[in-house]
Amino acid sequence: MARRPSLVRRLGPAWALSAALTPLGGCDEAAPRATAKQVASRTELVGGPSALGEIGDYLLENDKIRVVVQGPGFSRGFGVYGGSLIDADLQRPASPGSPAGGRGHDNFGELFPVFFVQALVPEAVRVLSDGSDGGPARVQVTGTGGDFLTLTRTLNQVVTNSNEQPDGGILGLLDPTRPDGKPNLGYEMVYELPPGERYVRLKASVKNITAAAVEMPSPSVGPLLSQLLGATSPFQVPMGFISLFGAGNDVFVPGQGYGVRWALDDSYKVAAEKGLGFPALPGVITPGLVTTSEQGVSYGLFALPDPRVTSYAKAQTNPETGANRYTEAYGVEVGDDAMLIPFLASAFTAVFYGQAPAKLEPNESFGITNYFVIGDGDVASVMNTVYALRGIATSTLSGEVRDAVTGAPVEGASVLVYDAGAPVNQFFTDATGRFKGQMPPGAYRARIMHHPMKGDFVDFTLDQNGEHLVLGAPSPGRIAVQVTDAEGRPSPAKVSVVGRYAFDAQGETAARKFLFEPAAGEHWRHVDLTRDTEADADTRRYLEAHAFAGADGRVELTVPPGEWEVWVSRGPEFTVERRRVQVSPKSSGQIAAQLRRVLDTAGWIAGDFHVHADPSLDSSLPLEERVLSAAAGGLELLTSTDHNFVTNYAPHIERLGLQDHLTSIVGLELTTLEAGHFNGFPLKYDVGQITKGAFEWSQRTPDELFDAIRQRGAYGPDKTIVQVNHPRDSILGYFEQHNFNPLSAQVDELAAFDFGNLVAPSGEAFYTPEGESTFSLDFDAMELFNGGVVAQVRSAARPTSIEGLNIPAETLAELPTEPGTVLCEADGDVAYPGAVDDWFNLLNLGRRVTGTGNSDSHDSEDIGVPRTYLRLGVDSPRDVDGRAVVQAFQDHAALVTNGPFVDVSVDGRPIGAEVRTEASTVQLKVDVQVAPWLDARRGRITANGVTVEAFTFETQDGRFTRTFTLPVPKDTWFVVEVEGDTNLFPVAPPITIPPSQIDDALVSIGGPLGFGASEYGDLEPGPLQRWTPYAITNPIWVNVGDAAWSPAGVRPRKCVGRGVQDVPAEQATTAPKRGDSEAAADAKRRWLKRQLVPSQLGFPRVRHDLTDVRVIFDQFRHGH
Amino acid sequence: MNKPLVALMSAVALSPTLAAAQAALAVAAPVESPASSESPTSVVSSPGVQLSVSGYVRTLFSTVFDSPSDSDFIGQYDGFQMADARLKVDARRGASRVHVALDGAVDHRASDNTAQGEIDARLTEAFVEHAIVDGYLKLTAGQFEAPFDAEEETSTEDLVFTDHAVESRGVKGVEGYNLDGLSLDYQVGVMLSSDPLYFGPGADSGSGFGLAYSVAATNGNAARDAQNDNDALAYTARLSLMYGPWVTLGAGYHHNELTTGAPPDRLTLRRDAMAFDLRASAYGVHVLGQFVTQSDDVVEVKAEPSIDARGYHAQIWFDAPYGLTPGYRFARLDPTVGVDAQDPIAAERIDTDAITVHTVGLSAALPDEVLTVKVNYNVVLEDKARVVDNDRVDLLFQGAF
Repeated sequence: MARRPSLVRRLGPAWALSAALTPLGGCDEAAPRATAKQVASRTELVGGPSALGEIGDYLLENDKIRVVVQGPGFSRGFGVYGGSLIDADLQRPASPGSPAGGRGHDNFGELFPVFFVQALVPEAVRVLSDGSDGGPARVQVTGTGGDFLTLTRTLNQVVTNSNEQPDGGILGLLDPTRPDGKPNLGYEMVYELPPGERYVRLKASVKNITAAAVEMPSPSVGPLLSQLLGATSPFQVPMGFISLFGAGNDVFVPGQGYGVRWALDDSYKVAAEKGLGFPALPGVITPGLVTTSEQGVSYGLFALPDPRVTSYAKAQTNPETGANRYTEAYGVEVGDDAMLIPFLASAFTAVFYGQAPAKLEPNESFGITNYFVIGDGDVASVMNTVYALRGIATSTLSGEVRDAVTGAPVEGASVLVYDAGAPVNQFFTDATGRFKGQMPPGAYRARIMHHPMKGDFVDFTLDQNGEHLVLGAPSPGRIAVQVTDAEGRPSPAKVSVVGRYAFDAQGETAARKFLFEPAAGEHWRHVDLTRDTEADADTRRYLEAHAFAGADGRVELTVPPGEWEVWVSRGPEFTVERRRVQVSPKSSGQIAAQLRRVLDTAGWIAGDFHVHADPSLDSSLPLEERVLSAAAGGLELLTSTDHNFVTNYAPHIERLGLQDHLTSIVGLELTTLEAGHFNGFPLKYDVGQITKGAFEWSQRTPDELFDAIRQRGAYGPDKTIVQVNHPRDSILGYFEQHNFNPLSAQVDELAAFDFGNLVAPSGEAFYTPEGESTFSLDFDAMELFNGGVVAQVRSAARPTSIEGLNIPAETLAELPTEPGTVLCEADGDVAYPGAVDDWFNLLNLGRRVTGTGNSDSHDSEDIGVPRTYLRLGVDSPRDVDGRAVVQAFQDHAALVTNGPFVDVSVDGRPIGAEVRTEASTVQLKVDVQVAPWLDARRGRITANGVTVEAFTFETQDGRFTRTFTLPVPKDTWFVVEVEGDTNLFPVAPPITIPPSQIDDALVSIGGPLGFGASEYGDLEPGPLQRWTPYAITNPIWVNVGDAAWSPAGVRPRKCVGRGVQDVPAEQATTAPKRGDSEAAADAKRRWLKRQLVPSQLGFPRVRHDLTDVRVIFDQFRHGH
Repeated sequence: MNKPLVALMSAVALSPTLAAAQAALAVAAPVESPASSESPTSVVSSPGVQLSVSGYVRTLFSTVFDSPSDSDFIGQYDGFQMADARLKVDARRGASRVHVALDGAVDHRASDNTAQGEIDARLTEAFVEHAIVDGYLKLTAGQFEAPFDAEEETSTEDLVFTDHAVESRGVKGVEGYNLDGLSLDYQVGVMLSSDPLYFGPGADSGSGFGLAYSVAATNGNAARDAQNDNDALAYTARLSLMYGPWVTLGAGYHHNELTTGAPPDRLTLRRDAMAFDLRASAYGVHVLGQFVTQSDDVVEVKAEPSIDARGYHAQIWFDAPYGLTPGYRFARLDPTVGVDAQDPIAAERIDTDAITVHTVGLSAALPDEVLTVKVNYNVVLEDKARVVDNDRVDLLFQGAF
């Protein structure tokens, strides 16, 4: 037993008694220790918002922290393979385990080692040392190299030389259906937890398991690659880690602050401008990175100088100058422990640290060690460990934060510490407003960030005796809102607070540069995406805050003092109220608003069939906030579709008392990394599974996935809807990844020896053993309109005016002259396919797929934009039945809209119906309704894929009705589209966060291979989009005569020049076949041509060709 | 609650001293409780109704020997706390009685590992009891502690030591890593039971062989829960065999289906527990031995092993002169003694969390006073999964009336 001298002083007589009884003492051993074991009961698990550990995984714990390493097999997280670190938290003795899986605060996604971008396929996970000897506990994962994206398989195997190369050298690599060669390298990952420490050593290594030397990159291709990329020194393979921190964590890089995502973009641009030079890869140089969160746990990833390891960043020397390339380009010092962040996208953060030798002899291995540190929520608690690890002398920095007006302690304030103008550390204040941590002595500046306010800089010097700061937090004001409906009853509503920014004569449009500081962790503020003018402040609006009133109709928002415009809304069926309010510090502006339902949607229920919340790795939205936002947005039916996780919103709706406004059904978004995203609903909720019913998807064909979803249907396989999500969303798009041709509606089979095959998806998910495509049309619904990818609704077409647009001259010369002509790329493919055009093709093929529109919302602000109305024949959410929802899908009784409500009938029959007629014409009635705050002006009627009526109109009192007499010479389906021009800001905030500009990274290193900007320049649909009204109905089928329905067949079209044209059927686009010698020859010609073109930015991009490597990364455009 | 009872309780609550309250009451015969033997100190008679009041106040000073733990208060607590402030009232008329007990010192901390929290007043017992067949069959309805094991049958103020044995009470957060004991909480339901029934020679004087039984159907969740946590009742039964006042052999059984977690993640925990105990007294020497085993199955989680918990203790104490009662207790609680995991090695690995407590105690009751002082020295030995330096000295001041 430990005895402290102070005990005597503190206890006095009690000590005397206990001392007298000391001989009875036990033999506890309180020395810190670490243990490793296989989890046998859920009561041993970590638990928490992101916890995925399960029985059979491996637990490492000491007296400070606990981590879970998944067993072998399929990743339960966002990745592909097991063996990853999936849960991590501090020890929380007050939160014991439970059958539900622990009660910790795990907020971590997943971490696994990468060699270049090749992952570890675990064959075995075992306890290497259980810690019983008093030393570190170790868990070892062994296996071979594998790809979390099969797109990168060839690239990985060329760069790492992980497998025997196929016969035929580079030509052999061009067959995506080839099997992997015998492994050359064995992979190992050891997670090592010392006693008494808050870090896990991550020891990743590769070993030559052949009898001959293994060169890296492959000698057959590596030199060619280096030559093509203009390398001035040999490329050596980097090793590091990919960490999926999850949306609940904010990534902080010492020296960059929270702005690492933007620092990364800037690094790409600087690298391109200054010529970083291959083999140096662009990115952010950092001594490590940290995440912070409000969950009371933070994570860090660091390296220490290691004489056995050459830092990849440190090794990038310019042979001409002898200086480090990063120092030359970025002006940063590069130490022996420097790490490179080459990309950070979605929840994926890549960090390269070590550089592999050029060659491994038999049985020789190479490895790196990084440190995974766990803190208590802020950066400082992680840095305390890092300073100790690095042996850096520190002093104590403490302080307290008080409200500038009231003097009250401020809890949860973020105190940023800057060194030389850059954020280097960060503290969260506790319940008493205090903070404390260690930092190296020096001169610093501190500043408070307490949303929505930030404080002034305070200079201070931290000496050996420490420093105590007393900081004042600026006081925000509040806006209190009470919302009622037309009958005076409390109403759910969304409240948006809009501000106006000053005009910038320089024309700066990037909000992050004039409106807020991402580096300081400020929340994103959406702008209205309207061209700024000095004269009109309404062109310079931004969204300061938003919140939701629930069943009680009340909500309060915290905003900076000032004058604000407050919008109160409840989706497109209701009016909006706008108020101006003046807010002072610590005072509340009071607003009462009444919203009236102005659209008649009797019999229809508004649903969103694609939303996320915090069970999804890339969302941090609490479930109750998700429910609240849905009701406030006027949705009546919410479907849970978290990534590979089944969620049930029903209890949360009940807790919030929203049953009169909202109901829900259970579903999931089956999220393959590169083979498509598929929603399934209504599903069973399996309370006994950690993921509540998600399942393994890797290497399974689409049909297998669809069947697996249906088997989990709540009402049986035949009553389960499978919906294809964002089908044209690059790597996340099912159609795109399977080369579903937007003109022929067939799968383009890859030509043999096409160089595009180097970056083609491969494996069992895509090809049968015979090399045939696995693509399947056996789904029930597809998203025509996904809120994350607005540009993919319709195929990009020539606009009416191209004045002022920057279009490459080569493209401009070939541009079709007819507005509305779908654009083609130079090689004859549709440039930017749209989901609606694919849908029309499927309808023409006789596939009755229900079209849907969903928000794919990962945050609260954009839910229900767009939405899908289902004709259920009921008006109250309480009356919605899950089976009826399925039936409505199967009856195609659906309307997609972000505002206008459009009802259509043909000869009196509703949307989704099949009308039988003997007449030569039908009466198609269009009924459009819009709320007063938005508009609808244009309509279009499509019959069998061809526009048969395009009309403009004006609504009277928000309504427009017209009946069209349309010919039906044969079986015909009709679809109606309606659109308007109103900017839906702020009710529907625009997409103003561009995806991480990985393109720029590729441009900076891949110019010689033709990586560059779009061949269409400004005509390329951009990632930033504002919302204007748009609606599209599902079809009404007109069956002429007595015969069975006869589909029209795909409209014969092909690319002629830069535009799609109707052609005779025999000239229509056909899919190239494998082994087609002409196609192969054409591919070679294109590739060779490209080699003759000098490096330049802006070189045309060719889909499915080698230049399209960037589609690997384009996936992150998905609205995550 | 009838008016005299309200008046009585008000009088007690408002009395500045306990003596003043006692002075307002008359003395009546002892009243049996379904789960404990009580010694009411005050009785009042009103037309047709006999009222009695009893209770106790217990103030505890604990010092837990410090551990170098990061865990705030775990193993690091030194200080006073209100252990109990119990007020019990009985009203009896004819074959029926009503019993109400309140505790004004329920430790309601924000979490197990913090000093923050509140001292709550809480209803502990509230039931009506009716003797259907005098001595042979009683019906009890309300909130009570269904008889299950001998340790919990012993009323708190009658304990030789400062608190119940570890297998019964578990470990409080500040004493060590928090752990629930195997005792049953107060529950709402009904019970059929008997008084001790003696038969054969010596039956009239209570010196022969005898038995007592009880069978209860209750909600199965804690008393603080207003309603059942699911649609399944819990069942508890106990049978005691006696030989005069000298030897009692008891056995208890409990079956319950608990629902844990918040919707929609609600899991069913199927629990079966058994208790065996032996009490013996002779020549001022008393011994008590008890064994409790409990098995939990999570119905919806197929991979979750069935987990058996086991606890036992043995204690001996003496009626020494001058109101002194020295005693020794050996107690052990193993919350995962048997894990029905598919992997036996893994099952063995998780079984490293047992706790053994040696307690040496001395109780001193002042003659003719309500005050009793008890001091315990607890040597606490944990297996490696929950090891912490936490030997503890408890000093208790108890006033019972």
